[in-house]
Amino acid sequence: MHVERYLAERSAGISKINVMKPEEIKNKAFQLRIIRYQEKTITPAELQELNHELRNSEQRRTEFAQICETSRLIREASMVQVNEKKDRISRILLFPATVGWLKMGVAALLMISIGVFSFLKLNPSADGIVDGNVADTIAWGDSVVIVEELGSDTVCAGSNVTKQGDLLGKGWLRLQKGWVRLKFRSGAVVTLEAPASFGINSAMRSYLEYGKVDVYAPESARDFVVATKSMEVVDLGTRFELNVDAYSGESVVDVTEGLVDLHLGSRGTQRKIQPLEAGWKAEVDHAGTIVNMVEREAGARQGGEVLLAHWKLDEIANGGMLPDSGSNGMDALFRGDATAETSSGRVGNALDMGDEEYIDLSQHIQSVTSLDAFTLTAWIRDPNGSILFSVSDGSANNRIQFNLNNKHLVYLWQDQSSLWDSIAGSVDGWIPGQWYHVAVSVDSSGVRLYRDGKLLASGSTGIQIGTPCLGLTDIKNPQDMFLGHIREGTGGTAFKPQWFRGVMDDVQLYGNALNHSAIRELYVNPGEVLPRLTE
Amino acid sequence: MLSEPTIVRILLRDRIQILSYIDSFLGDPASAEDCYQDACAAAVAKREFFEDETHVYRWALRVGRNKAVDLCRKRSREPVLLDDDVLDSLEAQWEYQHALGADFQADRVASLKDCLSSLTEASQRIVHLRYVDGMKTGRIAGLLDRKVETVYQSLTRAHTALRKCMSSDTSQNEVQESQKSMS
Repeated sequence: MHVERYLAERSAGISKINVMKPEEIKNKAFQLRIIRYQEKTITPAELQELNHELRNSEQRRTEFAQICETSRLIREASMVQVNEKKDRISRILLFPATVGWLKMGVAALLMISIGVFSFLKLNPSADGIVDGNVADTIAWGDSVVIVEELGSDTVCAGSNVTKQGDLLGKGWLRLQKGWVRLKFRSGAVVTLEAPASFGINSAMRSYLEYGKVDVYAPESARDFVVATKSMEVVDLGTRFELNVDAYSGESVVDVTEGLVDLHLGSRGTQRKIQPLEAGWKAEVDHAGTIVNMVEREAGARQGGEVLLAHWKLDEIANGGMLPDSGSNGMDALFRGDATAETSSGRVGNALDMGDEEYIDLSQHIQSVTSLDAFTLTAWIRDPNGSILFSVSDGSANNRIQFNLNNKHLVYLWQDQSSLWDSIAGSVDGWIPGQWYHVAVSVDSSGVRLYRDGKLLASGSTGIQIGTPCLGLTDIKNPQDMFLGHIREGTGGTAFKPQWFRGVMDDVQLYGNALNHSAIRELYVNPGEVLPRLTE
Repeated sequence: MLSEPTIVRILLRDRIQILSYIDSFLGDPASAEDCYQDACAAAVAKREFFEDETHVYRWALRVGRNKAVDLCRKRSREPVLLDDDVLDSLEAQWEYQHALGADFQADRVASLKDCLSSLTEASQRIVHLRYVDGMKTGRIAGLLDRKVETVYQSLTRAHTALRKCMSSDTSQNEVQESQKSMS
């Protein structure tokens, strides 16, 4: 009966029975082989077939890769859920043990009261946000962005932005007139100016097709990305402007605070990464090539340089004194062979230092180690050792140091533990006879390393074990402060005494972290200090 | 040359893809994670070597593979099942997919979570038992009192549905589609 009905329906073209095509059957069989392969229950014949298919068919390889990736993603997604659940459970379980049931009861009553109060006070807005736009109080749901503010004349195509407090999900925002300030769930704040076409991808990612955005990323939104057709701008905790021309596709990135990484190139190409620091502006063409990179006009430099000491190292005075030509009288002492020679320097003379020769700054250590931020710059030639600058407790258990090797310029720190950490910038060696300008700046935001006015590396945590970088105030019981030397390490890390073994000239110490523009200015004006008298 | 923080960022961003490649011939998620960690440590140690982000990714794939093959050799009962030339082809495949979608890795877990929720409850349970709890199909069938073939069918259907959902649900696709529809 069923067969008759099926044949009748088939002849009438109304069959609902789903007959698989040969290709679909093959696909299913292939998927089954992958699943059996994954769980290692595949038979030798099936394995042979799988190898054959993967060897000869790109489509099969694509499918294989997708299934493997999906399998992994399922695991990852589950782990995220488990961790979230564990967090919640552990909080619930640990709380009573910590404060006791009585206190918990009081806390619960308090929370209920606050909840009722909040409900009564805040609910009338009915749009899920409260006055003041406190992120924690936003009922995000599936939304990614909230409209923090918008101009009175703002016009947005599709009307998805109509008023302050609107919540937006993934999708496009076409701003035809006015401006709008968006706050992402991650904390990133993006101000968009018309005309602009802006894609919201996720809490940490957006896409600017054309128009102008001003982006501020607090620590919670570090690595926030604004992508364009030709590059990605990765915000490393900063503020920057990005302007994409609607017709040419050319972009201008202008960093006003902090640092960004430009990942240059369109999708599917090998991207080059270029760091860009505050005060610098890059023009990028439609293909992702930097056509111009300039520092903004001198007046835009942040300024506020605090010169603490300037050791020209032109001559060694009586008693080994190396005078500070600045106004703070921070004279240094040359230690070592009294007959050490000065040689022709980058400006004037320079100090030629060998084994067991170094510059002792320890008499100023108390004032220097009270600095929250500092910058040290120097001209060097023919470095044959490693150490440029060190501040320590004399045992290397507590220390910071600025050193180099054939391939790197390094800022290193150690804080009581036996482990040290560092941030390093790669260099292409040190050509004999050539002068190099090297600099390190350190403040609460991290460390930046420069050579010849170029930013080599930056970071706030070490690359070895991921500890936060330390500055001068972090050194406990500071005893030694040297240029060109660090004592033998007798603490947790044992090492032999190190020397600079090269020619050093014009060392400058600042009580703040100079920005890229300032460092570059020192590089192009050897011997001069900041602020420059010509300004 | 890339800075160390940049290398770390790339390795974290591409973690799932690197892991899925290693796991594709290791078949052991926990060991794949170990191999990935080893590859990361090796990449940071070799930081001066890298010129761009693709270089880091390709290098991590190869090192991860070598570590996994070494591991399989040590566990002499667990040979690598796929032939060497197939592994080469797959490595190229992973590189190609990376070039297409490296930018959107961060969104993929969230996207998959959404897609998982679109499966039937029964399918979700089978997928969970297989890929999260690591049970083999035979055991799942026993547990759920179903035929082994039925569980296989459910898994293949789930994979098909998830891949379709993921390919239409990636943020970039959404944006691109939205772009098309608006222009």
